[in-house]
Amino acid sequence: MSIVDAVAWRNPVLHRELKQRASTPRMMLVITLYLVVLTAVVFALYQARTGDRTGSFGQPGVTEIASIGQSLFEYVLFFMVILVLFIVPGFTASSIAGERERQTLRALQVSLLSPRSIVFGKVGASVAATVLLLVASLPLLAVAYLIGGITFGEIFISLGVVLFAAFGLACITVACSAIVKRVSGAILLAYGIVLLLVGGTFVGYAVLQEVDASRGSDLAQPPSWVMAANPLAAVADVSQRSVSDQTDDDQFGEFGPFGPSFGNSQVESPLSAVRDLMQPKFPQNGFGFNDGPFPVPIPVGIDEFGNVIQDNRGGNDQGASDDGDRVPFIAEFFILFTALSVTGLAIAIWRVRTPARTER
Amino acid sequence: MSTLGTSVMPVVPISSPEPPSRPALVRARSLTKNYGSLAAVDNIDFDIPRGSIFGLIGPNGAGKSTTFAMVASLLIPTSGTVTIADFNPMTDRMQVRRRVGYMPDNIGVYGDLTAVDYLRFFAASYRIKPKAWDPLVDGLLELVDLADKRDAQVDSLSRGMKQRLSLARALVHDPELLILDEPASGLDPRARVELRELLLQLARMGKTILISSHILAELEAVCSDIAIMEGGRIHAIGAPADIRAATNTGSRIAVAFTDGSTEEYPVSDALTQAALLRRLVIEDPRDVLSFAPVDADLEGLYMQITDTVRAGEVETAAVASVDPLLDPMAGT
Ligand SMILES: Nc1ncnc2c1ncn2[C@@H]1O[C@H](COP(=O)(O)OP(=O)(O)O)[C@@H](O)[C@H]1O
Ligand SMILES: [Mg+2]
Repeated sequence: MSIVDAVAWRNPVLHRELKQRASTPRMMLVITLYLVVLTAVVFALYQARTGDRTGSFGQPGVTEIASIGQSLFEYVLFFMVILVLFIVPGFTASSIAGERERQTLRALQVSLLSPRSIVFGKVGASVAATVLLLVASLPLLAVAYLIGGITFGEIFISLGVVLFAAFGLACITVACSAIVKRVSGAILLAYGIVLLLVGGTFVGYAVLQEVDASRGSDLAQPPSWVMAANPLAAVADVSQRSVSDQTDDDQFGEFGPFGPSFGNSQVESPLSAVRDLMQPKFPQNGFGFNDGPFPVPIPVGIDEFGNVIQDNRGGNDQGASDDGDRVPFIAEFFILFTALSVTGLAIAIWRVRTPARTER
Repeated sequence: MSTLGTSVMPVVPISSPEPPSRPALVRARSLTKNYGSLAAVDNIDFDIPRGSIFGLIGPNGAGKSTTFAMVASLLIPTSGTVTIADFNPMTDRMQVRRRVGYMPDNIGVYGDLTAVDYLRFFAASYRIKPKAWDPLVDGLLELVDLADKRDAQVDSLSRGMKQRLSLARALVHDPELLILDEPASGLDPRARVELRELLLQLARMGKTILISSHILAELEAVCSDIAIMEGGRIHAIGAPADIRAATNTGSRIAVAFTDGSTEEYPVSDALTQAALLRRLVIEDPRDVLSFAPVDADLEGLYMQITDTVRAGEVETAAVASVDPLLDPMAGT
């Protein structure tokens, strides 16, 4: 039995979906377009950073080069997350609803396939297609790695989080596809949920921060679980670990999320902007000024040499050191997203299962 | 008016003991499916003998597809039961699915696959080992006369060919029972003849076939048993000849009442028809469920009835559906 036959026999739905995706030119087009855009961004960024550096200060120093590598790394990561946010719902929304629309679902339901195999096949196929896109962008991460400032471990962990987010979104979207009867409706619902998970949590967090700031005299920092369903925040959080370790020599370089200042030996990326957003804010009344973000060095850990690592950015990890018994933000993300994934799968399976009360 | 109280059609009581030579493969007992207040299938009983071609005839909305979906383990009955080889789809759905090949009314196919890949896909879905796929698929394509379309894209096939491919799909696991929901609809006369031939061939192979149509004449020639269904109820059940004999009685109208009884009235002209309708509604305490023209000038009769109802001359009548149930011209 060939491997292809083995897949076809173990999960025919997965096999058919993969085959169909592989045979449509659309997939190649998406990959090519994505890589072109990503490469252009990375190249432009590299030019800007190195050009700026050599122009004003001569040859960049080691930490500066490291920060360039880190910036590139974060840019590529950011684009991966954005890609996942856009493409996974697109890949998955038609999975069940499309079969319903084409009147092909009933033939599957009366077969000996379990509803679980049907749903897993659909989710597996869109995750596999997403993995292909992520793998295609690995060379760009390799460029960042070669420039320096990041380790394999960091790349590995960050990719893991991106992949986990892709899987979670696929599970959420397959539920949408099983609930809503029409593909168009399923797509709308899925992107609506993505908007809620990303945009909604940002807005919610910002609002809570304002409320918090207007109330007390301590730092305004809403509970981190508000952001725990936000894949962008999760990736920003894990990539921050490496970044904070290696750039704590420049604590005063942050000038806000929207004004990247390349003159500083400072990691600037959309992900750092996300971290800024989650940074504790000074209260509006406590000190009489609120023009933050002033750098607030906060110990976040001890490095391998026994020095106290300080971080100037705030962010949710400090929640852990603020009140010791809190779980780290990334763990909150994993717990919440696992719960969402399992719920999504369960809903989808329940909606596909027959006999049912109404024809589904 | 002299025939008031006469039953429309001979009803073979299903509770009568079956002849031992025709054991039932499918048994429905008080099978009911409600959608809100609508009884899509209303307390029906039937037995489908092994090896028979059982035709369920009724107009659109009669409840045929709903009945089939319950037999095929897709729908949960509101009450009552159906069993296939003594297996209940509610508790033994895998046993039922192994024995049932189901072709829904709207056949959807994967247009992007080739005919052979389409059937391989379903062979895998029925847990058949890859080694057995090729001989199985080739045999099926041969059976439905699509061997020369083996590697053609499903999208490129004609409607009749897609229908036959769908039928091959339903046969992939060699089921005892084939459920075909209006397989002839949308086919040209030639394709219908081919389909009929295929059905007879499958019956010779020992399959039991449950098939539906809204045209009696379409299935008369191939069915060994026929049930007439309307408004969720089975009004008559028997051999095709008996059913036909009962319906060839002149210009008549069948009236179904909500209490389950059905009565037939002779109709001479539209005026007496209208008068009859008013009389029925006013004098008969039972609610009228539906009218079914039994013969001749069906459309005209239908218009008369619905116009009378719409004009407000009748207050409580509910014209559920009056389709050309028994269309003598169809299929010839
Ligand atoms: N999912 C559903 N929800 C509500 N009503 C339904 C549903 N499916 C079928 N019906 C109604 O049940 C009745 C029987 O439908 P159906 O079994 O499709 O009839 P047939 O196949 O004989 O044309 C119709 O009145 C139809 O409108
Ligand atoms: Mg139907």
